[in-house]
Amino acid sequence: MTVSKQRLLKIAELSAKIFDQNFNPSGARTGSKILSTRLKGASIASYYGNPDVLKFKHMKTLYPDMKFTDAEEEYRLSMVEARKRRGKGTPTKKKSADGKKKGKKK
Amino acid sequence: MFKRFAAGIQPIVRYQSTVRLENDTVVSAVSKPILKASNKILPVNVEAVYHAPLRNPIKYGNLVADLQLRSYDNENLDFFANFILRAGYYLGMRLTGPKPLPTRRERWTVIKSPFAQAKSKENFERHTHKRLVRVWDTNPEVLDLWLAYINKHSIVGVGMKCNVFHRAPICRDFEKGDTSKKLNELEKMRKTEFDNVDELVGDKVVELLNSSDFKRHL
Amino acid sequence: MGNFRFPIKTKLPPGFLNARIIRDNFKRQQVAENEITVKALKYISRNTALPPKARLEAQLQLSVMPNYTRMTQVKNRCIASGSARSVITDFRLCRTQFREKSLAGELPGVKKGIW
Repeated sequence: MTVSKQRLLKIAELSAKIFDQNFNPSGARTGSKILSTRLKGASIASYYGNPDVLKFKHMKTLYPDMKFTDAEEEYRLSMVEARKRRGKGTPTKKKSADGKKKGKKK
Repeated sequence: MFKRFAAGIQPIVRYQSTVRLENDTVVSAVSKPILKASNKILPVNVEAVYHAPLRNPIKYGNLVADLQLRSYDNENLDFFANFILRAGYYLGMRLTGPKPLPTRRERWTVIKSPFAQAKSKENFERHTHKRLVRVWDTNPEVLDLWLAYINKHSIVGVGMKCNVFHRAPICRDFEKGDTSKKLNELEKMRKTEFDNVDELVGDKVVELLNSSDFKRHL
Repeated sequence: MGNFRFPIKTKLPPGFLNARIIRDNFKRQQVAENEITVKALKYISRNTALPPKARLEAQLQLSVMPNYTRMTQVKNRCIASGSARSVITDFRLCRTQFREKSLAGELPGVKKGIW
């Protein structure tokens, strides 16, 4: 038994209507490809993390009466101090009238 | 999913002791002489801890929920699955599992050196172990209670995902007209549960087509 | 912060920062914000059922939008070093950072691979 193409098409149309699907037998471009893809803006925007995360420096300004200590920063400062005592601190800038065009020396 | 157990993962060491204790005492021959020596009779439910978890037999075969456990470390996972089964038994639930699902192996090969020397590489891998516990013939309220209890006592480094199935009768009375009402309700549920993507774009399309720029071309 | 470098003010992301990360972050925020408009315009321009003039109008509007609203401008960068090369998307880290962190045990579950 053969079923005519028209009847098959009609069935397809009906089933599309019932199941809320698109019926597009001619394959015309309706742009549904674009509509069917998901939105990915949220995941793209959150790649680097939440910008409202509390940082240490904010804690200090938020609670000025609390005494916070940054162990790492303190260690760094102590090391700088130690170097300075050993004479290994930052070199002083040369202050001279004649050394003005030091960079352009020929 | 990933975030959940990424946050909770910890070195295995912490829980190894408990797991080992249980593995040793599962063999009753080892544990019984000790019990006899101390001359104490344990209550049945405490005694049961030393054996494999008990189960209620499935009666109707009505699948209510699927609970999937995931972890990077199988010892914690098995321990927790065991706990889950025991909790379910005492709530009178009918559970099967834990069925081991295929382990996911992710592998990365990176160049060892930060610069050049591209011939020497290093391999890294991560195994995600999975277990499936299925819930049968259970009251949804009991299921909620069980889930809350499990959640409360969840272990570090084990992620959970539960699919709960609701069953509803199919309305066959198309002519009576209450289908449209029900369909509307379903549609509302869908809209509130998932922020529908097509809808946002669709609304924008309508808004654009109604704007003056497009109106003159239509 | 005095005058902001980009046309629209954006919050700085936490963690490692450098000029390229800030720039990329700005583009990401803008892409996310304009995504629905871009999609709607694209839909109109690709829909053959609509009159050609309307489709052309949509295409024009799309091409007028600034570059930072385009998806193709976004580049995955390492969140710990800002490097754009050989970034492992699962961890959002470049290969050197990934190796260092996994060897230090900072990435849960990642071990030296033996198979």
